[in-house]
Parts: sequence; C-alpha cells; structure tokens
Amino acid sequence: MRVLLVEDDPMLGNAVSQALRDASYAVDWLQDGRKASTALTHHGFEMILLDLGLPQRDGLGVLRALRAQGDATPVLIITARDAIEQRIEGLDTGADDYLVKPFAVGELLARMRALSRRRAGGSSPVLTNGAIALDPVTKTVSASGVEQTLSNREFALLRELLIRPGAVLSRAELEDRIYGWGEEVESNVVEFIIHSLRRKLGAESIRNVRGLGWMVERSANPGEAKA
Amino acid sequence: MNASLRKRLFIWLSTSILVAGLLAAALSFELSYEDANELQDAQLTQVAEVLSHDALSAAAINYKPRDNEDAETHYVIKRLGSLPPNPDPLVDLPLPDSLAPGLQTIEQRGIRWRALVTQSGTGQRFAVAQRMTVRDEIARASALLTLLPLIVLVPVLLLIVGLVLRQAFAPMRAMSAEVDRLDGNLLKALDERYVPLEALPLVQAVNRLMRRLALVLEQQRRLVSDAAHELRTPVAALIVQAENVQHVDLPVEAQTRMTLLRQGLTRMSSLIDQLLNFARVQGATPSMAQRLELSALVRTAIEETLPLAQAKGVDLGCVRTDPVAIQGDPLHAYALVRNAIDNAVRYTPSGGTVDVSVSGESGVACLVVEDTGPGISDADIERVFEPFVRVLGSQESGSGLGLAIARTAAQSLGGEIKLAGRADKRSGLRFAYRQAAL
Repeated sequence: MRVLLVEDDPMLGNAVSQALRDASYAVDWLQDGRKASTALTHHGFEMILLDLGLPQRDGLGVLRALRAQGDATPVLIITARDAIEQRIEGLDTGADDYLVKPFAVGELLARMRALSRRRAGGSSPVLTNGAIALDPVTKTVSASGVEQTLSNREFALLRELLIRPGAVLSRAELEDRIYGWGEEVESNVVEFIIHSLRRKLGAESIRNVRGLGWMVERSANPGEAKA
Repeated sequence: MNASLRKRLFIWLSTSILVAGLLAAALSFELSYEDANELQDAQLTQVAEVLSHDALSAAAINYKPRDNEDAETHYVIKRLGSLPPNPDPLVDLPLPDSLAPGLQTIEQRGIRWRALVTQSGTGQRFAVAQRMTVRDEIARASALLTLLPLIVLVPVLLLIVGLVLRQAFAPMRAMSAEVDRLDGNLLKALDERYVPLEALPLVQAVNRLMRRLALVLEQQRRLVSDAAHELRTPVAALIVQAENVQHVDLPVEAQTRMTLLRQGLTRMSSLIDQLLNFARVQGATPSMAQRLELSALVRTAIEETLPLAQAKGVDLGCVRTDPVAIQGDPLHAYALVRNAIDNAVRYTPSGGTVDVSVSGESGVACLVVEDTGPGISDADIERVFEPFVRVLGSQESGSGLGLAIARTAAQSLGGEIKLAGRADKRSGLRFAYRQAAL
C-alpha cells in the first residue's frame, strides 16, 4: 500500500518512514506543503499522513485543496497541537482521523488499518478490545482463540462493555441497558451474568472497579484481534 | 503615615456641625429671650391700659391673692405713695410718688421689679409691676424651647454624615476586596463603572498596570506552551525511532537497555503533556464555565488512571459517589480531578490502596482522595504545590507538576485544596478539594 507522509521535521519524518517500511508500506515522504499538493495531483496514494505545521503551505491548506479536487483519499492528521478546537477544525476540513504527537507506532498502524478498512466499506462490526472479540451477528465470542456462544443477557452485557473498552459502567447503567422498559430487574443479575462471563472468558476478562462498576480493559492495539 | 480620608472628613464635618450648631443655639437663645421679655413688657402695658378705668383699678388694687394662688406670679398694682407699707415683701411694693411715668426696672428691699407707672382717668397715679425673677423664668423657658430643634438636628446630622461617608467610600472598599480576590493567573481589569470620579485616575492606572502584567503572564504561559509543543515533535521522533530499533534483532542485553530508553522517553512525553496541562490551566477562560457532575469527572479520571494503577498493583476505587455538580471550566475541573488521583496512585507503593470519594453536603461539593503512600510531612505540605518540587527521597517518576496543576485549576474554579495526613492515622495522604455545589 502506497502512503504519502508529509512531515517537515527530518528526525520524525525519517523515523516514521522507517516504521512504515518495517510494516510493509510503500512510503513517499515530503517536507513541505506545496510539494505535497503537487504530488497529490499527479500520483495516486492510498493514504496520506499529514502534519499541520508545514512550510510553504500549511497542512489544513493541503487538505482543503485535496478535498476541493474531490479527492477522498483517507487523511490522518499527525500534529503537536491537541486543543479541541484544532481537532474539530482538522476533522471539519475533511481529515478522517487525528493523532497527537508523541504517539506509539502501534497506535499509528492501528489507526491506519482502521482507515483502510473503513475505506473498503467493510468496517468490521466485530467489537473487540484486543483480547476478546464479540460478533454481534452470530452472538459468538472468541477469547484466546476459543470461540463460544453466549446467552442473550451475556451478549447484551458484554456488548455494552466492548462498545467503549476501558470505560467503567455502573450496575445501574448495565441494568438499564440490558433490560427493556417495564422489565423487572432481578437482584444481583449483573453479578450473576459477569460471573458466568468470567467462567467462559477468564477471570481477568472483566474487571471490577471498586465503588464504580465494571470494565473490559482497553488494549494498546484496538482492532488487532482477529474476529 | 496613612491618614484615613474618611476619618478626616468625618472629624472635620462633625466639628463644623457642632460649632455651627452651638453658635446657632446661642444666637437663637439670645433672640428669643429678648423677644419674650419684650412680649411681657407689652402685656404689662396692656394691663395698665385696662386698669386706667378707675373702677377696675380700684378692684385690682384691693385684690388679695387667694391662698391657693402663687402670689409671686401676680401683677402687683399699687397707688403711688399713698398707702401704708404692707409687711409682706412679696406683695408689698412701696412706691415713691416721685417715680417717672413709663416702663422701668426698680429695686425694692432686694427684689427687682419691672413696673409701668401710669395715670387713671381721675388722675390717680398707679403702677403695675411684676417680679423680674418670674419674667426671667418665663423668658428663659421660651428661649430654651427654641433650642429643641437644634438639639435634635445635630445628632441626626452627625449620623447622616457618617452614613453618607460610609456610602461614598463603599466603592473603594469593594474595589480593594475585588483586587484581593484576584489571583496571579486571573488578572482582569477592575470595573470602572461605579468608581467615583476622584478615584478614577488611580483605578485606571491600576488597570493599565494589570493589562501590562496580564500580557507578560500570557507571554510567559505561551512560551511554556510553545516550548512544550515544539518538544513534542522530536520526542515523537525519538519514540518512533526507539520502536523501530526493536524490529531489528538485538542481543538480549541491548533489548534491556532499549526498554530503559523507552521508559525514559515515555516519562519525557508525559512531562511534556503535564507542561502543556499546566500552561493550559494557567490560561483561564472563565467564559467556558458550565455545570459539571463531579462523579462523572471522577469516573473518567479513574478510567484514565486505571492502567497505571493496575501496572503498579494499586487498588484504585471509589468509596462514595454522591450526585453533586459544580460550576466551572471542564478542562480545569478535569485537570484537578485527574491530577489528584494520578498523584495518589503514583505515590502509593504496590499493594496499596487509593480511595476516592465524592460528597455533597450543605451546599459544598467535596472530592477526597486518600492513599496509603508515605504521606507528606507538615513542613513540606506547602512546598509540594510549587512546580517541579518533589518530596526528598521519593522514588516516583512523576512530573512534579501534578499538584501545581491541581492548585492552579482549583484557584480558577474558586475552590480550595487541603492536604493532610489520613483521618485514620495510617500512613498516607489525604487530598481534599472543596467547592460550592451547584
């Protein structure tokens, strides 16, 4: 896959190019905005990694020109500025994702994979935190390579936790989401379901956070697990 | 020496009022005293006029006061020179024939009289007289009455002067209080609208100074922020490069050293983040204030800190989560909560506990974070809020900015942080933040 990296800092440009080549991407690296715009009109890239603070023409200008030409190539902004307003401006201008320096290579690669999946239209419906993968269609879960089926309640609860790995959900929130309106909540049902999920997926699969609720751990590489 | 303008004004005004009041009182007393005397003379003349009819004068001359009447207050009417002296000195008034007609003051046997000598229709000369002491008493009483309004007026005036002065200086006091409330990070111009004209130049000069100071502070803050931002790119390059090295087959020894190098880079990167957070909480944007659920902030902060807690083997959890809201900038409030919890986890050894509690009682929202770390000695408690101060001997790899960020955020939120030992006397630190609940 051919990727255009636009980054004016030689040190970071070198390092990222190397990391991308290590991950088997074909990388073209440019150091200013005007060259980037020119390159983009003549060559086809499958993805663009774009720094915002560039000489000649800033990153947002490059992005704006690109989108004005009707080019929908996925763009991942890499920048040192992380104020909310700047993120919003970047995304509104047509960026597909946003990564703040400094970042781990793993996260960069994971986001790139997510962008190409989305581009392919096959954005995976499988919910995963890296250790557990839940398929909402078949209601099956796989952990450590073992695939198992879940009851409706187990599925509903695990899905809530996997929608945002790392987020803590309280008992009331879980009850709220796994019971419909007017259904009577049985006492201890959340503990009961979690107990049976842990038996199937391992004791560490669902963590209790004292006084707050439960969570599944956030993985360093979301999207890495095989569904 | 600083003289109080208000006190000086009050003393001068009250003295003037008192002196003017006394002068007015004396004058008014004198005038009405004279008036009363003149009036009594007129009455005397009138009585004499009536008595110039013989029949009436004869009756009046023979009149003897009854026992229950006060003889002293009576007019005494006498024929001149004729009658044998009466032994009673109060009623008796021997008058020589030689008295000239008209009003006069005479003295007989030690008693002073005011007498009018006149003539009846038949040519009989007689005098109508009244004791001077009685007249004086009446005159004095009526003169004193005229003092009454002044006596009431002076204290009332003094009171009014005091109140008016107090009122007039109220804007100055309010302004001092306003300046006192400003903290170093939140320099804003004083409200000039209600400042008295006389104090306006001073206030405007102060405001100009504040604007210059705010500019300098802002430049300093921006320098920190820009420097941190500039550092991000090279640090990112280093981190990526260090990861790239791991793709190369390295001897085991080199791998261990690489791990240490990467830990150092991670620490540097979090220090840069903290520097940015510090610069951010210093740049106050009170307009961003909104209603914030304290428990929700705590939950997010715990979610963010859990990986660190789990890696260290620290049990991080909540013991109380009351639903209570505060008013404030979400960035500042989150920075405060996050750093309080992060700091506790960092300084708690493996196997320790960090308890977070959110309570709302009698209008005060309270966040308490208690850890089982080594705690801080009383001597160090103020110092740890300063940037980059770490307690001696602590092995922690924190940025040294956590509590400085928390305190700056607390100041802009209008709350208060208290650090103390644990309530249960175990080793550990108790971080308590209090702010008015919404």
